[in-house]
Amino acid sequence: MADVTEITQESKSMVPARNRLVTALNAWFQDKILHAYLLGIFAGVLLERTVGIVIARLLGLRDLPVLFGLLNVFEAFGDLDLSGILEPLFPTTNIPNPWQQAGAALVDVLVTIGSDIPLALLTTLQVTAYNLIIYGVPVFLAALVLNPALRGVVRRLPRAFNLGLLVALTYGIFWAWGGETAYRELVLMYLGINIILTVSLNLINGYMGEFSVGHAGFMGVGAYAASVLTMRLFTDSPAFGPALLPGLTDLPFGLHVLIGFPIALIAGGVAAALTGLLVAFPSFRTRGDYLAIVTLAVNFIVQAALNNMEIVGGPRGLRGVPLWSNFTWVFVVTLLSIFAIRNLVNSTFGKGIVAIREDEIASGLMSVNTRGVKLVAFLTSSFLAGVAGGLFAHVLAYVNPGVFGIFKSTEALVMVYLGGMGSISGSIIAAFIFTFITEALRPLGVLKWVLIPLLLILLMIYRPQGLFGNRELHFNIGGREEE
Amino acid sequence: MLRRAVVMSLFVLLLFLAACSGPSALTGPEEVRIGVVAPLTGDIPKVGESTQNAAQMAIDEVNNAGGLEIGDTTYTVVIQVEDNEAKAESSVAAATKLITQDNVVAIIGPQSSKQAVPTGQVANDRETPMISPWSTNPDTTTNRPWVFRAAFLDPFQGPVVASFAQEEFGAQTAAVLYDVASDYPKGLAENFRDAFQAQGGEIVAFETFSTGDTDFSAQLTKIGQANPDVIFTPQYYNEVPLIVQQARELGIAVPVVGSDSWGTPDLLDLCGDACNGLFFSTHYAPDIATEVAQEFISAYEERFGEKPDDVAALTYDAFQLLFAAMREAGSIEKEAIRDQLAEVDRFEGVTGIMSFDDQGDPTKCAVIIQIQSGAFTYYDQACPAGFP
Amino acid sequence: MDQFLQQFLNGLQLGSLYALIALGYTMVYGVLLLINFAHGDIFMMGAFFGIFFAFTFDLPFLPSLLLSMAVVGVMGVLIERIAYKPLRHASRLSVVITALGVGLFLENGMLALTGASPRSYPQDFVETRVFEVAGLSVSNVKILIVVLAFVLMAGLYLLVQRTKWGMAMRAISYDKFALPLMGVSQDRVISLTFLIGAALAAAGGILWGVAYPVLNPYMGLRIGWKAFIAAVVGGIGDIRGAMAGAMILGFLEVYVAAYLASTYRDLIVFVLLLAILVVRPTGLFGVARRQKV
Repeated sequence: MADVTEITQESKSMVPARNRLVTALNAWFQDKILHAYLLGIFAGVLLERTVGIVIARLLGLRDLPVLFGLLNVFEAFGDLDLSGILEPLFPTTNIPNPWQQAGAALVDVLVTIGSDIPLALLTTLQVTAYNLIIYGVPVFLAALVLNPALRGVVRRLPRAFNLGLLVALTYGIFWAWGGETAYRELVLMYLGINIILTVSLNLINGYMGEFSVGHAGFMGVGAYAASVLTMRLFTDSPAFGPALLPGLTDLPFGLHVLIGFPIALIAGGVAAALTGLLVAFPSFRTRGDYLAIVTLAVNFIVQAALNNMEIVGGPRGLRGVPLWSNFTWVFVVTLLSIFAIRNLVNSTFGKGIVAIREDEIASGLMSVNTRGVKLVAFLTSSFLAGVAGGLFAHVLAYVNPGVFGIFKSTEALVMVYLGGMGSISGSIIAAFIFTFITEALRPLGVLKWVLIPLLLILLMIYRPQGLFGNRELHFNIGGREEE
Repeated sequence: MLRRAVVMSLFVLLLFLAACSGPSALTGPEEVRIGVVAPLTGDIPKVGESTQNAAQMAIDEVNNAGGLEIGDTTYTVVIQVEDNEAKAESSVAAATKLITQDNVVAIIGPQSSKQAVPTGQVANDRETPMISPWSTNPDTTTNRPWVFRAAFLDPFQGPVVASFAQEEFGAQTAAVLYDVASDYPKGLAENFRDAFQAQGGEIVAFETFSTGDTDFSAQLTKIGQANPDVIFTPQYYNEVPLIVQQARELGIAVPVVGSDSWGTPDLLDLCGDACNGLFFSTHYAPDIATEVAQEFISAYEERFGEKPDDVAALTYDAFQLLFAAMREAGSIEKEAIRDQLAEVDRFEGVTGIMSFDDQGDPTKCAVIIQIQSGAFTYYDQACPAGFP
Repeated sequence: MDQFLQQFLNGLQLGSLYALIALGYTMVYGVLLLINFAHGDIFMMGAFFGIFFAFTFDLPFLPSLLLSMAVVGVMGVLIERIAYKPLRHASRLSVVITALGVGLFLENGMLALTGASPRSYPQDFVETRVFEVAGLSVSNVKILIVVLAFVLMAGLYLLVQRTKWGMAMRAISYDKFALPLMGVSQDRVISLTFLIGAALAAAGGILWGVAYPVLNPYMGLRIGWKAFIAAVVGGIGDIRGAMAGAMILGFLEVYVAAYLASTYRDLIVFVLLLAILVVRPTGLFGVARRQKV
């Protein structure tokens, strides 16, 4: 009987949920062509790169705002230390007047907060003005002027061409934005990796309705496999000795990276997918929380195995991975991953994945090859996690078993449910929000990880289905329908 | 229309006022910015707290004395502390941010090798001097001219403890218990094993556990069965009390020796009587400390209400080292600072006298501490061969 | 042989402690089908409130234990009311994610508010005494833990199987729509479940703190995951299963470290657990849910 309740709950997702957020966003995006918005943003970024510092100084800022000024605002609270409040009440030894001390500390903290607020408000004002001037005005103008001007042209272009144009434009925006500092570029690379992780986990947790809690394990396998391959083939390292293909590194234009990196990433993905079999086979017989434990166990097993492999450094980790990832690589791979998942879930085969979520037995009766579908879903998901791991290793130039623990898995989970189960655009937006928030809250130190879960809880209470539920954003990209 | 114009002009006026009152780079004394990367959250938050405390103390001392005189200018030292959450990727992001966004002249930290190794890569690639106070993994500094450290390495400390165990207890056999998933204990355990065997001893048990474990009874029962003369456990101060207490409960009475990771006063509170009489090697002894160290200890205790641990002492030293190099260099150019750091041949810090080899690793002495009635007391000293 | 028996005692203690936490997991699951990922952190709160009563009010062991269980029990109820109840009709996994959030919030909140120094109970909280019996070392703490774990499990089993409230709990997991029709308040049953579950976790936390006297805000994290694994391997939702799963995990960890390589302990233990789940896909005591077609 308990199953009935579950089915009634889950079948809600079959009816297109009324999601005012998505509807409003869609209306907004459908109204004007995407080209106009993107060109506006691009103009904003160029504006920032050229006269941004002048405007920032005029507004009284010391430097360009970091991460759209989010970080600057929180910096005002950087001196906040709450640890005195409860420390006297939960002491390490007997202390006199604990309540008095705790009260004094509380007053101190309140005073600190009070004295920080003016600076925070001021900074908020400054960065809001900055963002409006640098980004708000160009986007507004572009929407106003460029939309009518370009609309006609864009409509006559083939759809595929438009799509390419938009991708190029998006790349240009990120490239120009990230070019300002290495920190921005790094954040963008983390963003791409987080998007791949989220989208691939969404395939299992969102579309197929399973509960995988060990995604970081696959990422770890991919990271190590890809690193070992590039180190073995292309670099001289104390761990593996001289490069097997030293001649290739002399090729012009870094051709060896162009050849070697995709191979390494694919190898990482394949290794991760093979590990994914450890989950895929049990999934034929077991479901739900039991399968969750299987994924959790696989995560622990991967970590324990890596810790015991002397050849890859054990707990010391593997140093000397070449620094091959850059923003372009991450962008291309992220794009490919998104397209792969999108095409998979929109295909007939992909409908089988959703069918399994709604009712496994019924879908089996309706001629869905449930085992085959599950196998493909788990293999795809773990493959992409492995690719993300490969990118990640080549960003850090170092891997360590500790990185791929349960905490990393939890982050991926949070992003999936933040965005909405079964929504690719939701996953992308969630990865965006999560990556930026975790960076922007840096100045808060310990409080960062108090605030993030608090936001998560509030969001879940008010939007249990995540930001986007199972709906997608649609953009007006113009172009002739070729069908 | 008019109303809108009034609102707009008020807004602009407000912004202008804000601009005038806001922090401005154009006024006030010259600043020099130093980045600190520390694990404020994650599995070793105490390390982060000590780092932050020591860093704050180091710069306050300089600033209260009027600032840091470099060349002809007096600078106010500003630190920017970033949390690395005990995660490698967060550490890399923090260092990249400090270097490229905040334009720091140098970075102190990260503490654990897991973060120090990848972060050292960033510092080296971006040509910014970095001193990791606490990292013991050789990889942190190897072939990285911009990266230095303040702690001695496993290959030095392991043999020190091994010889001590053999000389002090006449130990023929030893057992080792360490965390297999953590690089510091593992490196030290292996170095101890090799040294102990090389000096004719026998390792009768080489047992491991995983980070976060609190029950060691299975491994200790096995060790008790092997009946060693001494047990070596290079674990952190928050694991040592559990190991020692559980060993005693299982009736294992042989001495337990440890390494510098024991050297946090929290150990004394947590372990109580069980740890009395035990020995470990570390960087400095609080009771016979030099004048420099005494001043540091009392100032730290007064300010933070607890005795400094090894992390705090090493972090403080890292700052003094950096200040010294900046003064010597007479400039806040990164390159000049780096060159000076590499040339330090004698620096007296809280944790003793050190000089640096060509990899940026310090050569310094270790002391053996005995825990006596709730205090760390000096017992012996061991210096590397050829120490000045 | 001596070693085998000594290791048996070690395993018994570890298994009993896992069981204390796994019981709470499985109870909440049995009623709400919710994996309460915050349970490990509620366990931590219990241990910390033990510190609070022991130091700030100078109370001895038993009153501290009971008060801590009461405070943390109420906390459990509040957490359910504030964070989980609004999600009762949402997807099951939204609640799980909320629980993850609550857990992170508790552990980091405690870290932020109390500082990073690890803590332990006062020396005279529970005096450890070690007895030598036939070459085996047994401490009073060990006996206390094992006895209490079995007593609590038995009590819980009786509560669920023999009392009216227990019947209501079982009924709710059977059909949560029919329960109100029978004149039983769903909210009250759920609150009671959280009260008991959290109080049990608090007791587990204090006992853990006595056995392993180094407390920090993250102590519940790893233990929580392990107890969750134990509960699932036993068959989640079943009280005997939680006990069995916890004991299996405890004994596996001890015996693998003792007789196989301790280096490979985690690897071997998790592979074995995986094998159990492959052979019995719904755990040891779990019953396959009937799937409506």
